[in-house]
Parts: sequence; C-alpha cells; structure tokens
Amino acid sequence: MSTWLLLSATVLWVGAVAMMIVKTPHTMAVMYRMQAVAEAGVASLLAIFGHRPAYWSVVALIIVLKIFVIPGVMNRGLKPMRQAYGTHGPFGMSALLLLALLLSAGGIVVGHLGLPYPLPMGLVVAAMLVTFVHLSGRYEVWSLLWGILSLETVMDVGVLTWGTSIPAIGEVGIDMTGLALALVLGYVAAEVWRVKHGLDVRDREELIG
Amino acid sequence: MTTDALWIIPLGLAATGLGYGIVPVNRLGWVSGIAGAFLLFWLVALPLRLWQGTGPLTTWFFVIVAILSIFGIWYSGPYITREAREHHWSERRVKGYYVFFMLFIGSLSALAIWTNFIFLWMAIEAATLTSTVLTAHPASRGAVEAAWQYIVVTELGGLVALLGTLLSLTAVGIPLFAWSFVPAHQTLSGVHQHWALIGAYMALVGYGTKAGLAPFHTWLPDAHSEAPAPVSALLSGLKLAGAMFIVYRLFHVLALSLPPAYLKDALIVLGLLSLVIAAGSLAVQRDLKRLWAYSSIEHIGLISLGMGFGGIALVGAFLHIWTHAASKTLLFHNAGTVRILYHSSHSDHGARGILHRTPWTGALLALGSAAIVGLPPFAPFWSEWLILAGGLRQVGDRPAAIAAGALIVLIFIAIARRVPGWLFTPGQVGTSLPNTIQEPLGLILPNAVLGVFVLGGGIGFPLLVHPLWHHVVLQLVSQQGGG
Repeated sequence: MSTWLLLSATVLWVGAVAMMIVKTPHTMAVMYRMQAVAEAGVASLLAIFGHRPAYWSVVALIIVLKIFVIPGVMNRGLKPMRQAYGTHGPFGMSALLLLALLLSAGGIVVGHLGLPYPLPMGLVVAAMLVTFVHLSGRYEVWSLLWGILSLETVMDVGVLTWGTSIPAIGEVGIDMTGLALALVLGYVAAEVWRVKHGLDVRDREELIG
Repeated sequence: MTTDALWIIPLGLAATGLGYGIVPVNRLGWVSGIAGAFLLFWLVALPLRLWQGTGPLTTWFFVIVAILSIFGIWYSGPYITREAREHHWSERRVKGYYVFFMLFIGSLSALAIWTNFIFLWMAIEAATLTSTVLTAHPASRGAVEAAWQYIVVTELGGLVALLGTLLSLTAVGIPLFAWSFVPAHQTLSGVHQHWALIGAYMALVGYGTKAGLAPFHTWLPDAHSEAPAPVSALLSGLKLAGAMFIVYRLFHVLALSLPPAYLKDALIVLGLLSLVIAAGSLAVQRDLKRLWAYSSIEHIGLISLGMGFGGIALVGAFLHIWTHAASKTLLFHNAGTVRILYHSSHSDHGARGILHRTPWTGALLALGSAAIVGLPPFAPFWSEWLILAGGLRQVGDRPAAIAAGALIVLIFIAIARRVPGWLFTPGQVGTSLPNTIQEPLGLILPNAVLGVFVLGGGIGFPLLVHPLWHHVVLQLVSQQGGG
C-alpha cells in the first residue's frame, strides 16, 4: 500500500509544481486531471486496503467530476482566455520555482514529525506549500483559478490520508462542494474577463482595504 | 421532528429559492411572503415545542438567523426593485438575485442548526459560494473585483479549515460523524498530539478568514461595500458570526484533549489584532458601507475576545452575536437606502446632510450608530461590558482586556467623528440647505421596525426569549465546568 500511496503523492506534488510554471490554461487542465487521478488512486487504496467498499463510489465520483465535468466546464467557460500565454511572477519564475523546491523539502521534513506514512504525507504537505506559492506568485485569473482547484484536490488527498476515519458520505459531500467551487470560480473568472478585458488582477480598483 | 427539521429547514429555504426562478417577476413578492412565513413558522414552533434545536446554543443562533433573514427578505423587495430599475437589471438578473439570496439564507440556517463538523464546513462553503455570486451580482467592475478577491481569499481559508478540522479531530480521537446516519468510525492511530494543535490552529486560520478576523480580513471591506445591502447585512451579522461559532464548537471539543490556554490565547491575539486594524481604518473611511465593514472586523474581534476570555465574557460573546447582528443589519440596510436615495454612500459624493434631506433615514443612521459604538442603554453596550468584565476578572487576561477597552474607546471616537459627516451638511450659518428627498415607505418601514428592535428589543431580547437565554447561559457555564 505504501508504494502506491507514495506514487499517488508524487504525482500530486509533480502536478502542483507543474501547475505553478505552465504557460497555458489548456496545460493546467491536463495537470489538474493528473492530480485527480492521484486522488482517485488514494481513494481506491482506502477501498482496497482499508476494506471500505463504499469508497469505490468516491473513486467514481472523483473520476466523473475531476477528469470529465470540471475540466470540461472550465475549458468551455474560459475559452476567451485561451489566447493567454506566458508565465509571470513578481520575482521571475526561477525564483518562484526555487522557493517551491525549498518549501517542498520543508514539507517532506514535516512529514517525518510523527505522521504514519512520512514520505507520502510529507509530499502532500509539500504539494500544499507549492500551491500556496503558486497562488501568491501568479496573478493571471486562469492561473489562480486552476491553483485553487488544485489546492482543493491536494487538501482532499490530505483529508483522505490524514483523516482516514472520514466516511464515504462525507467525502462525497466534499467533492460536491468542490464542484460548486469550480462553477462559482468559473463564473466570477468569466465576469472578470467581461469587465476588465484582461487577465491580470493586480490592478484591482477596489483593493484598498 | 428535531432530526427532520435539521434537513427540512435548509432544504425548504433552498426549494423556496428555486421557486423564485419559476414564477413571473411580478409574483416574486408572493414567494418572499412564503419564505418569510416558512422562517416564522419554525421560529414560532420553538416555544410551542414542535421542534427543538440540537442544543440551546444552536437554537439561539438559529433564532438570530431566522429573525434577521426575515428582515433581509422584507427589505430585499423594495431595495432590489429600485436597484433593478436604476441599473436596468433584466428579469433574469432579478430572479437570480432572489434564488441565490434564499440559497444563502438556507446555508446560514444550516450553519446554525447542524452540528457535525464536516457538514458545518459544507454549510459555510455554501454560504461563501452563494454570497460570492451575490457580491458579483451588480456586475460593476468594483463588484466583480470584490467577488474575485472574496472567493480567492476565503476559499484558501476554507480549504485550510477543512484539513485543520479533520486533522485535529482525528488526532485527538473524536469520531467525525458523532451524529448522522453514519455511525462513528475508527480513528487514525499513531498521530502525535502536536498534530492536533497544528490542526486546531489551521482551523482557526481558515475559519478566521471566513469570519474576517485580522490579519485575514483583506476580502471583507471590499465584499461588504460592493454586495447589495441585504447581502452585506447578512454577511456581516450572520456569516461572520457563524464562522466564529464553528471555531467555538471545535475548540470546545478539542479543549478536552489539548491545553485550553493555547486555544484561548490564539483567540485573544486575533481578537486584539482585529480591534487594532479596525481602530486604524475606521477613522479614514468616507464610504458608509466601508465604515460598517471595518466596524464588523471590530465586532468579530470582540466576539473572538469573549470566546478567548471565557467565563462571563463568553456569555457576553454570545449575546454580542445578537446585538451586533441586529444593529449591523439596520446599518447596512440603512446604507443601502442612502446609496439608492443619494446615488452614493460616499460622503464626498453627495451623501451628506442626510438628517435634513431624508429625516427617517438620517434618524435610523443616528440610532444604529449610537447602538453600534456601544452607547448605553443599547444592547451592544451590555454585551461589550460583559466581554471586558470577563477579561478583567482573570489576572492573566487583564492586560488584553485593558488594551481592548482602550481600542474600543478609539473606535468610538473614530465613528463619532465620521458619522456626522453623513448626517449633517457643513457650511456657514444662514446658507440655504439642499432640498429634501422623498423617502419611499417601502424602504423605510423594514428599517424602522428593525430600529424598534434595536432600540427596545436590544436589551429586552434575552428577556423576551428568557427560557432560551437561560438555557444558553446554563450551557455556556456548564461547558466551562461551572466557571
């Protein structure tokens, strides 16, 4: 089980790092699907090795929502943003990448502070920290949108691995909330595009609070 | 009936919301009437013992949610009619507002009466997502930007809160589904105790972001000032307090396994920081809605302080949830009226001389302001007094209570300096005053009734619902071991 868990956590972390540096919204969707496969993998491990067959419904839901529905809706809703190409960060992408790798090392160390599966759980912490760097360092609407959805997947894997006592019905509720989050994010992102005709959210007029 | 009510109330409100989507636009008032009657039924059913909440605290919060939601639905009618006419909203946009407003109220009622932490997280997420759509609803650039900032910041908090809640509860061995149709399960073994504390702090940061506690408050002034007035009122009065209510319940459970001082100190630090941010920002606000938004940060800080101090301060914190919510609902509705009648709520853009030009609106602004700054005999005075007295009673908390008292005085001065800028028109004696503005009865009546609540019902409310308040105090005291 630990080998499969390690593989899933590694895929999740690689997806988080890749989402931080990719240049196009389309690639974001690909990376998001990859993370969803990792999440479904963790849920299926619980179903098989945890002897909790109800978790197969969670696996099915993750596949339907995160591999088909959410990327499909996002790709359609964000069609005008497909012209977007490029990566921008306040200190350059190499500095962001370096910071992400340093925090990843920190996350792996944290995993060894008494968690049951130190390396896989450390990688989940690392993926979480990398996504925080992503959300702090990127400022294009589409990048932030996919960053939050990625964080939702990472946190959900954290919930599955750290809080294994969670019943399948709770996990189904969390995934459905994730769908609602994606829909509202897509709606607001489309509205941002409509009123600003741009993707950069640094020049918000309202951000004076 | 109690178990059924846990589902019937939120789902019934959501179904009513969907009803707005299918009726013609000239029949929306009927659906509002049904929604108000639905909430009123569950309120009246409480003293008749047709149903009971899952405890006095949840019932207390539900009563507050139901009363202020009724006012929100009532005020939405005339407010949205005027707003739609002025900004040329389509029928679809008007209906969309009501659908999401009822879904928002449904999620707030769930936040009040549900007790399972995973479901509570879903309820506050639903409240966040529906209120994000409502914040963006005016479709102006400012509203859309505020909604974007709101969802990005609070969803980060929400996801951190989810993991923190799960981590802390799992680490201390609390079953995640203590009630519900799923029985308690095994807990994760081998997790060290310090993970419980890390999880508790993650949950505090996450739910603190939802509550607008400093330094996680950056979304709040923008979202509150851009959302339609009835939404701002429920956001400030109910959703922020709802997030703090989850923190209280979680910390109460965790305090059985963790040193309570660690949890209480964190609440006190964030509460004080919120007062500092509010004191520093209130003095320079020129937009009425932004003024009350920063005031919300202050009052959530006070509730956090009360929960941190414990004892009589905790009773004060739960009373303050009502006193703040009632006063702030009045003030946000009033600010909405100002924005409609003066086409701005900014004192530099024409919203001046309100007391002369629109006497009812001005009087209600003066009344609400006097209440929210904590002047006696308004109810916020008593709840703030209880919070400070609770802090002063304990030697260890005395410096924090004294600092909080000093900050409250600063905030009082800041609001007392700013509000006359809206109420009066500066100028030389003898110069002609601007013309008066016709105040529509539909906009004034809901606020006037709420004003009566704030004036007379404020302090009288615990007496009006004496049996319930008595049980609330008993539960709070018993939860602290008689302290």
